[in-house]
Amino acid sequence: MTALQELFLKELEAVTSTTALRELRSRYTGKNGVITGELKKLPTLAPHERAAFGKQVNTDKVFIEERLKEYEQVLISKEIKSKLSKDPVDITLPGYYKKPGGRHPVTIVLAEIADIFVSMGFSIEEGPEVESDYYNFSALNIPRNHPARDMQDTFYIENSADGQSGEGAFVLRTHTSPVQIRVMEKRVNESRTNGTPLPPLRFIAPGKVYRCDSDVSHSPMFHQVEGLVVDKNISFANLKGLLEGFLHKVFGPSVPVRLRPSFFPFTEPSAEVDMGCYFCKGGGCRVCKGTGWIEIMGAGMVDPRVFKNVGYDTGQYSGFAFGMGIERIASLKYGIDDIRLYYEGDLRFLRQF
Amino acid sequence: MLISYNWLKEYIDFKESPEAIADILTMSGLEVESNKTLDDGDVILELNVTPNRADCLSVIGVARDVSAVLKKKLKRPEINDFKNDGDAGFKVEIIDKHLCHRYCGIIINGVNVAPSPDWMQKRLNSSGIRPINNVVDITNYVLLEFGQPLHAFDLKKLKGDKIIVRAAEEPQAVTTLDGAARTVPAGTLLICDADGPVALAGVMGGQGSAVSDTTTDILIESAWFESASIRVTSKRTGLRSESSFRFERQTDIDGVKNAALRAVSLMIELCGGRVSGVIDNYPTRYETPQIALTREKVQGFLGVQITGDEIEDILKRLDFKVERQTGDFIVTPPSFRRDIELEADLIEEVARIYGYNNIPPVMPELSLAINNVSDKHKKLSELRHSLRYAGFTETINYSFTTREDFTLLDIPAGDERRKVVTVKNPLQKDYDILRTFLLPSLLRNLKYNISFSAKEVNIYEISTVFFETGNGFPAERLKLAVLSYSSGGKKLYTEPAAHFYRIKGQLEPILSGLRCVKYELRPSNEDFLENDQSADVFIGGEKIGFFGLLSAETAARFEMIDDKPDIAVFEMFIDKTDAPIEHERTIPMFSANLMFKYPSIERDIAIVVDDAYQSGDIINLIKTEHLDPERLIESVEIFDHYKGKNIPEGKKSLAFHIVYRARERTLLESEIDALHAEIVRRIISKTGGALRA
Ligand SMILES: [Zn+2]
Repeated sequence: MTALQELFLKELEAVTSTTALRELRSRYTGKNGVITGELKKLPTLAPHERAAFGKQVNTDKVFIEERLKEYEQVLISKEIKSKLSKDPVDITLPGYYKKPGGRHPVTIVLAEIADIFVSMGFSIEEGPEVESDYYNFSALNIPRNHPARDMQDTFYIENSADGQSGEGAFVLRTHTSPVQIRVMEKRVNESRTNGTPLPPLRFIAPGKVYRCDSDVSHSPMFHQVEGLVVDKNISFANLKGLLEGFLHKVFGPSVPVRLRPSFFPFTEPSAEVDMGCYFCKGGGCRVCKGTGWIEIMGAGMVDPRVFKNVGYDTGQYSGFAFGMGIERIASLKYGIDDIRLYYEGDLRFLRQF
Repeated sequence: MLISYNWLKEYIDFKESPEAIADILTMSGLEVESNKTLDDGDVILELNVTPNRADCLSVIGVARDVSAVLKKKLKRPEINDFKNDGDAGFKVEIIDKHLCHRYCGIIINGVNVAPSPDWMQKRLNSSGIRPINNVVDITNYVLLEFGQPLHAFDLKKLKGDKIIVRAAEEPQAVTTLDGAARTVPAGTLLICDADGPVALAGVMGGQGSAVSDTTTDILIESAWFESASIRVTSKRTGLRSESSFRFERQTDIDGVKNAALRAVSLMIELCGGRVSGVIDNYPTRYETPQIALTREKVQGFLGVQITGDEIEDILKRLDFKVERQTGDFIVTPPSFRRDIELEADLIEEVARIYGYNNIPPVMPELSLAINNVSDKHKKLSELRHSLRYAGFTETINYSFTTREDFTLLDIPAGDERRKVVTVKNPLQKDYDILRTFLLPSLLRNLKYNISFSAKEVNIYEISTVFFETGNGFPAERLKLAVLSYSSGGKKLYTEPAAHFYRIKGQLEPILSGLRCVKYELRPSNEDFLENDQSADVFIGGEKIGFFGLLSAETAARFEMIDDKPDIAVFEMFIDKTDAPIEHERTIPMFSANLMFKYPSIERDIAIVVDDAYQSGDIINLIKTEHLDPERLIESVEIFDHYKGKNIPEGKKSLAFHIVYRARERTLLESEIDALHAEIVRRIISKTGGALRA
């Protein structure tokens, strides 16, 4: 060990803070430091001594820098520790963060449904909530003055075009089914414009719908998801397969599913889709009105009259449509018995999700 | 519709229990919604008959479906024909033949009006029809049995020995059986005698010609009226009857006379009398369609291996005529199945009797296609996610609201938000418009939660709003509104920023999440926000939203009179920003900043300026292009905003951190020293401020 190194170590021993260390570093290795001072002696030495001296100074420099670095790390961790011990924590106090808000159960269920269908290659389509009489009814084979219109209590929009519920009337859409018409019309127009054949379709259309009705199980506004599949050789068995698969995904693989004949003007054959009652497992209870089954969706093969209305070639294509109420599914999933809870904005309810 | 299990049994021999019959009906298309056991052991089934199945609005109709499923013969009641026992000289004239296709009238003289027998009264009661007297009860009994509405007139009260069926040429006064005097509009189909209307065709009889205790001679009417016309009359008069309900759904034109004859048989048996006239005026014949059907189509459409024999058998059991031509069929539906027009309708008949349960579930095989899941759905779900983790809970409110919103929130006349879409038939009288903005709903949500002593309310809503356009479809836009309320209750940790900055802190990431950077903030002109604590958001000169603190007056108007209501809100359109939410994916969507390859040089500025200057003004001065043509300033961030001790009254201290970096080279300290000094000089000269010591 050289004299310089010994001197440095002595000084280093006295250092107790990173500030003092920085000062020491600058005094030895800084611009006007000890090392520089040593090197300045070089020209005064005999030429044969210079190489050895230079080498020695360099060894000293490396030695000093290494010691400084080592000691600096020791000092830093010491200082952090002493800081922390001055400010001890209560490990049981809650952490500082924003408590996440609640998701709306309707949004949760809609997203879940969309995920399932998107995973099967369905797209997501939309349509306006204020619809014309044509899209909401006529195009879907629900003519004026037909009792099928009584199946849905309709809100009419005040407009100058027509006082009555005629062709010029606008309504708050009573279902998401008009999106079927809009999408098919659009595809027919595109195909006419660029001469390509009509494409197969598979999409879902989620959104708000409106019925002039309100009690614990009916809301004047609620959400539906409509689905449409149009392709070559689509059969009723396919409808059954897809919906059964879907319901098994949402409610579990063991839930029984059945289809029974029903009537929707825009499907033929039409079906009501029931699933085994969640609560009584088929034994009969209040929720299923003692039947052991719960109505969960409407569905059916696209009525050829609808294909005709939009100009889809019925000879080549067949398809099926289905629709479901989101609040109804959410209510079954979460055991909610009053539909109004979804729209009151009560945080005690919403924060649970 | 209510159906008696015992009555049903009169037409088919079956041993199935009421539960089994209910299941058969439900699974073949007539859903049994409930059942009730009567004292005598009979079970009344409540059926939900869909609008297409008019043929099942009768006991025999329902029995036909049961017989088709059980493969048992349907036993129809015997019908005796009656000859004209003497010409009563009575005439039926049908003027509007497109509205009345057939009218059958039978005259019976010498009836004895009295209560009907117990068994009949019981059946009527259990089907929800009130017994009146034997004549009227028989017409209702046959209506229930065959589904054909009948009406009995007191013959002596009809003037001129004739019935005229015509549409009213002008509004017409009619007093109906229920005693109400009504005026029906022109076009309403009427049954008239020589003097005028005696019944609203297909809906309700008139009071003047009603059968009473003293009636001895009657005319039984059995007719076929056009469905839409009856529906219009029923809607316009608000009268719904068992008759109109069936006519609206189309009755069996071939069954018109049979039903009348069935009633006559019962009358002679139960009321006495003799037939003196049978009139059957059938000017508009019904042509039953012939529909081609192939076995392959049935199999392909249903996805099931059903045989030709099975198809033929099912259709025949439902009274369809089937002609078989080498595996294919020509099918003629019966006259009571006007809902059957196309091949698909026949396939449904086959499917429902074959049993949906017997069709196997098979996943479809679909061709792959590039799928159109728009950016909108992804962006909305990101938006919801980020709001959620910022502590906000999603609410969904009705689209309906009240014009009171405009008064409560001081929305000026002529404001776009007053261009509302009005609902003609609202559920609540005052809530008759659709929302043009969401804030009022969130304020009501807040009030509701405060009523449950909520101390912190952080909520948002994303919804369509509607603007009247004056021509057809309203404009539908997408909005986001956020509300943050704190009652100032005790909290463990203090909030690091004032409420205004917290709500602004919600807005900024949303705007950048929507790739919206070129927005501009101006002092808000919304009267419902605090004057100096609010701003409006503009994009390209168009106002897209507002944010800030709700004014104390507005809070008070919503009756939220806390000691100091601290309510911050913002609302904006999210469908029309720089990059619209429905933006189609194009390349490049934006250019990534690739400047990070060369080292940066960083400098701070701390300056004391007049209160009137906003930090944004100083940032704009820093970023002035003519001082920095090479765009060496990579970022400017404010890190201190201070008023108080050591700063003169009316002034504030602002401090900024500037990062300089060149795209293609390493910067020299000297050039940045010069540029930075130039920027500082410029700020001082423009603001009259001073560097903070
Ligand atoms: Zn149950």
